[in-house]
Order: sequence, then C-alpha cells, then structure tokens
Amino acid sequence: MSDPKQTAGDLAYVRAKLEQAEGHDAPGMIYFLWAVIVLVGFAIVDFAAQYTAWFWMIAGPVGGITSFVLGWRHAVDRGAVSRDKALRHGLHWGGLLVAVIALLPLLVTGRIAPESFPQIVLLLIVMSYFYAGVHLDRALIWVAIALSIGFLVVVFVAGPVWTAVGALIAASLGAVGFTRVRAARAFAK
Amino acid sequence: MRLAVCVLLSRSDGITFRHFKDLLEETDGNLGAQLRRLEDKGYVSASKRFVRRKPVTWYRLTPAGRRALRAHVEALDVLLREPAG
Repeated sequence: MSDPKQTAGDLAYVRAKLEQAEGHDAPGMIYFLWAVIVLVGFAIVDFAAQYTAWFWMIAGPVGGITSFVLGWRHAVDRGAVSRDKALRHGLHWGGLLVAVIALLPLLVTGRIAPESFPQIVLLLIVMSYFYAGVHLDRALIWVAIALSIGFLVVVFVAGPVWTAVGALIAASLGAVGFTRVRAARAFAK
Repeated sequence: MRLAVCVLLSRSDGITFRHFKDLLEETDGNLGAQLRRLEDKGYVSASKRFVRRKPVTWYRLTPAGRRALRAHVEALDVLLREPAG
C-alpha cells in the first residue's frame, strides 16, 4: 500500500510541473508586435485622424491572425501544443474584434458620436485585457492597468494625448514581452 | 515521473521529448525508459514529425491512457482521504 506522505509528495511534484508548464507560454514576439501596432495606431489619432479607422480595420485583424500564427508556431517549437488553449485565445481576442464591429451600426446610425467612438473601443480593449489577465495570462492585468490609465487620460484630458497614451500601453506590452523572452530562455537552459 | 508525464499529456495535444526533458529535468535515458514503459502499456503513443526540418518525437495520451490516469487519480484521492494510522 502506498504511503500517503509519499503520495502527497508525488502530487506536489506533479502540481509544480503543471504550473511550470502552463505559465508564461505566449511568445514575447506577440507583445512586441502589438506594442508597435499600438504605438502607430494611437499616434495616428493625434496626427492623421482620418486614417485611424483604416489603420485599425487592417492592423487589428492582421495583427490578430499574425499573433495566432506566432503563438501556434511558438507552441510547436517549444514542444507542447494544445488546441484547446489555442481555441480559448482565438475566441477571446476574436470576441473583441466582433464587439468592435458590433459598435459600427451604432456609429453609422448616429447613436454614438464619432468623437466618442475611439474611447468606447478603448474601454472594450481595457475589459478584454483585464479578462485576458484573469483567464489567459496573468501578466496582461498590468497591460489592462496601463490601458485603464490611458482611458482616463483620453476621457478627461483635452488635446492630442493619444500618442502619449499609446506609448504607455506599448511600454507595458513591451515589458511583458521581455519577461516572456527571459522566461523562455530560462526554461530552455 | 510517469504520473507527471500523463497529467501533462492530458492537458495538451502533444508534447515533445525535449519539452519533457526541459520541464521534468531528467536525463535522456531515464526519461526515455519511463516513456517507453508508458508506450508498452498503451497509455502513450509516439510519432515522429518534422519541425524546421528536424525529426521530433511527439507524445500523446491514448484513450486507454486517459482512462488509466482517471482511475489512478481516483485511487490517489481515496488513499489521501483515508484517515492516518
């Protein structure tokens, strides 16, 4: 008959390996990609507002698809793939895209003022990153915090503030990206 | 270690030998022997695929492996709930 203490020890070992396996598995490159997209996309609001919608209509889905591909390739290179995890990430971020698209009829029919549309989209992004931090990757909560600060700034501070807000968010994404790169190097050592 | 291998496989669609080695910090020989034992029992299947033109061995948990893991976890649960002494 197995010793319960030994069994508890074995289970603690398994739990530790499970936590190690499931943490920090998104590649840093995805965060760097979105840092660049955000930096450019937010600056456009201040300097070339007429192109904002076009930029995000293209960069959003292209960035999303690229992120999915990068994530899957990273999983294959790392040697651990999970379709369930990929689906969860895809549905989460795809849901954000659908939510933004769902706002368009409200904009087109005049129920949302055009000048409020970017703030509403930013609020949707704040919530998406917050729930991503809760359910997908805890580090994204920090990005959600940066986004929240950015949201308050664009709502309450007049003038061309989107560039600065974009830089703050890009910095938080970049910081998470660097932690992922470091974690991946430490794991592979 | 075999329990850790099965639990990790139960939560994924495939794990490579190298990933197991990095995660479990085991030698090639020891890890290979444990994986072979699981394969011999039919709990784990191995397949070779190419990743960036290099052959890589991927492991998956078989349906028999999932059943065995579930039974093992249930037995552990009973064991841990038993009063001591």
